[in-house]
Amino acid sequence: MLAKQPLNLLHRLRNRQLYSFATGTSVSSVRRYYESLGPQAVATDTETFKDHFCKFVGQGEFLVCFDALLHDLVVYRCLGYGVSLPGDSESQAPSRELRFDSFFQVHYRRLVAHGAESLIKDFCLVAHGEQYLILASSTVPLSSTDAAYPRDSVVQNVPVYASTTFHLVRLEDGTVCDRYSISNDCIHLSNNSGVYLHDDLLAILTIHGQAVHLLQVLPGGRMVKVQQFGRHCWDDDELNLSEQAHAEQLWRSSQARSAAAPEQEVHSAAAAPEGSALVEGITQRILAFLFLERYRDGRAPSDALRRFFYSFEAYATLVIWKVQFLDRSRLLLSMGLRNATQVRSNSAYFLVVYDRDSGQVVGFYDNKNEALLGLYLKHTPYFHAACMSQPWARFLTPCPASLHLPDPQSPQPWSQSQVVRRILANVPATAQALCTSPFLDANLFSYDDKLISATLKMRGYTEQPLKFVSRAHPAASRFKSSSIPIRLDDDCTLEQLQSQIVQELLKANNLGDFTLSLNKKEESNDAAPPPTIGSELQYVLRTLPGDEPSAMRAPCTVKYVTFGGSLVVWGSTASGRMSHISIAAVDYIHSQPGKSGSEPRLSARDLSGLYMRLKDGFIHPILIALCAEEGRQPPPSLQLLPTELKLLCLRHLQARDLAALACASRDLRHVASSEVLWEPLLVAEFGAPSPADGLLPGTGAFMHAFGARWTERERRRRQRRRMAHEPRLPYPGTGPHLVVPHSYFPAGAVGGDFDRLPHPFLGFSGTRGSGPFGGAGFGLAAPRRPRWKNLS
Amino acid sequence: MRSIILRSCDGADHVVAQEAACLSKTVQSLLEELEESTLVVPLPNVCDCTLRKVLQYCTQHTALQRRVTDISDELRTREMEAWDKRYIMVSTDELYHLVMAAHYLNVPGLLELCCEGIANLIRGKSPEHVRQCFGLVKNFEAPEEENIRRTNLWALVDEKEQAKK
Repeated sequence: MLAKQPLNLLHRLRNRQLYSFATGTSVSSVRRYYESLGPQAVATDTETFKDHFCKFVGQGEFLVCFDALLHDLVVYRCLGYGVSLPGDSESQAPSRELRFDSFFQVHYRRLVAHGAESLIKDFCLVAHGEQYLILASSTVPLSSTDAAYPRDSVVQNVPVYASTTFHLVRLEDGTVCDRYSISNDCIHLSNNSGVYLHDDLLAILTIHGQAVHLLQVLPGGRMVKVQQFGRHCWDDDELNLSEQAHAEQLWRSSQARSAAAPEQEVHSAAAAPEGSALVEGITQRILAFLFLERYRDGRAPSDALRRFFYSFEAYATLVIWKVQFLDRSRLLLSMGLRNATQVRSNSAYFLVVYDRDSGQVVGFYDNKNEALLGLYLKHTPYFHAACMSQPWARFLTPCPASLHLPDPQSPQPWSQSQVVRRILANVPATAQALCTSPFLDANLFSYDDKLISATLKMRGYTEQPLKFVSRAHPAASRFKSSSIPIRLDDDCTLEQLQSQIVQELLKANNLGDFTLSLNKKEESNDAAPPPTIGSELQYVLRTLPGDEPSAMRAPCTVKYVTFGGSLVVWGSTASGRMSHISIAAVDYIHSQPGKSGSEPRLSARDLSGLYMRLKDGFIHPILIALCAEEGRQPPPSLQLLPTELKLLCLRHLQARDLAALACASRDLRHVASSEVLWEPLLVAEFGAPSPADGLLPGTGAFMHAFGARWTERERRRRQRRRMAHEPRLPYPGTGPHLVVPHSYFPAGAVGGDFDRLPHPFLGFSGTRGSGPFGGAGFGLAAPRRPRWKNLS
Repeated sequence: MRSIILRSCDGADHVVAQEAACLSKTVQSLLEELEESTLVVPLPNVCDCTLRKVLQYCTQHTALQRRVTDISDELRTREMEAWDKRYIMVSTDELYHLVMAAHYLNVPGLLELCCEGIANLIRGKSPEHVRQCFGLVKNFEAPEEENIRRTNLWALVDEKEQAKK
């Protein structure tokens, strides 16, 4: 990649501006830019940084910090950094002292928080194209005995701050341009979560007041309150309501005075001023929206309505927990239960789309709603567009790639609704939550994790290895794919079979203590195997606990190559013992005709068969050879079986296999030449031996006798075959068009059923037509005899 | 049907129906010897995973035996054979343990099946190949080997032909 691009950084930047992909296509061009920045020096033992780190503005020109007491704003300016590209020998950056001061210079230091307030450590928003900073400060929480503590709050277990102030600070010189204060309430300020900035509109959600304050940040450096909604949706709502309440109270008092009112009405009049009966503001809009939706649903309105009224109480007590702008007029609110301290992805909550221009709710979803999920996945940039300070940063998706992977702790894969909840937990989004500064990219720089909060860190693209476990044989075949995703359920190509499955099967092969492990030294050399002769790996036996570490390790080399549609695996030990196996691709890999790309596929159901074959046919011999070379006891196998069991097993074998087995080793010869095995074979093949043969048990005589008779029979057969193949005189009268199927058929006879005639007739005709040797045809008749036998 | 508990040498318990467990003649005779009330049968010669595999065989075969009514004899035999074929697809050392267990527990059908499996491993292999596969050493003396090879030359034709090539 680097070779094709100019090394000059300015050229690269210009090329990026001019020729990079259209916005929205890919984020890779952005990443590529600073992935090619390489650290040129390592600084260790740097001095402790006393200020509270807050954030880098933009690409890192300014570093925003707060002093230790959280009263002052400290802004550092970056002095620039030398760039050296890999392979760029000419760019010699000026050597500099590796101190903080030599890279960052204090730009200014300003007192921002006054009095009892202190700045919030991790709250900082950048507005108007990095011209302004919005900071927040607050007092310590009030105790519940305090006089100013709001008694009528709907939310109980959230602290109350006497005052919270938002400061608008010009970044250039640190002038505090404007302030906005909210008293006796709580705003979730950490990590910008309770506040949302969209272009120049700032939404602040107060938890106790259940109100959203909308401020506009003017370019001149002022914050103007535009709107407030929550308990009331329009500015004059409060007036109307108070007028109404006043009229109501007048009416009630006049009723009470004019006549002897029933006692219960007096009671209700007394209860009225508590004001709990009226459903107002957003809650009322939600209920109206839900009611109308159910009412218009034509199929079974009464049923839907009944369910609506059943959960009316739950809907009426919902509380706003977070707010996000979707565009300038629509906001996304998340609403949950009162007693939760915040909205969690694993609990149920609702997402409400509210249009502040028309004052209406336009959408109401729960957090398992798949329709909303579809919208979110389709329009992710729309949901996150406003939460970024840089336009390109919106392509950094906060949605982790590993969402569909199960939790490594829990064995159960996620259910559908869990996945939906996890994804929808990303909305409402947090403003400017994703750090876009390259300084915090862990791939480039390492830094002290304790100084920088986890939410600020650049999220990398993690690629997790996928694990595959065969469903039918969970223990037998198990392997991981590191990079190539193979779905074992239906498919994998021959190359993947070669490189992955075989390696993994070799690794996973476990014969008790006998395991092949990849030789570490060779593994590194193995990086670039010559492509023509396949791959080569070296294995050694795994060291056992009792082994001396200095013991000689005998390595074995395993090579594999695809060769003419089959995979050949062969291994050799140092002393030249070889074992090889050839796996024909057609046995395991099937082309699927239905699919468009007719790539060969491996089907999972064959995997255990393949595993068995590799293990018994290839790995076992190699293991035994290795054990022999290292002087270890080989794994248990046939020779350890007691003789009676060996005999039982060998009973299933044919004579030829038995005879071959007898040649293998001395102890096997004793077993395999036993008359217990050979006598039935001899009887079946040649009939019962006469006592005249003098076969004595216990001497292997039966085997010898079988061998001798077999040899004799073979000799005779060969002789007969030779006679049959000797040239004969042509038949009288056979023309070239006549096909003579056999020598003993009547000359000239074609077709018909003459060959079904009984044997005596055949003999007669044979003498007539079959040349000078007469009976020569009978030699050949042997294979056809059963047919005649049946007829006669 | 009564259930009994079979305890392997490493102390793992397997609950199994008595009918299935009595496919093993050893267990059957042990049950007869022990008192009526005994439920736990210790099997000190069989390890846990092998016992599990053996019991898999026993339960499957009893289940198939019991299904007399719904399928014909021929079909049942065929089904059982197919199952056996899949069952015996294990690696060499597993097979070794299995045959030992089947011998000790005296399950005739399983023993037969295992022996067939081992025979399948040997079938069609040349002596050299057999040695390689089972880790044997050629411990013949030269005249001895010549003798046995001459006797069994008839069976080694394939090998001779291969050597010629």
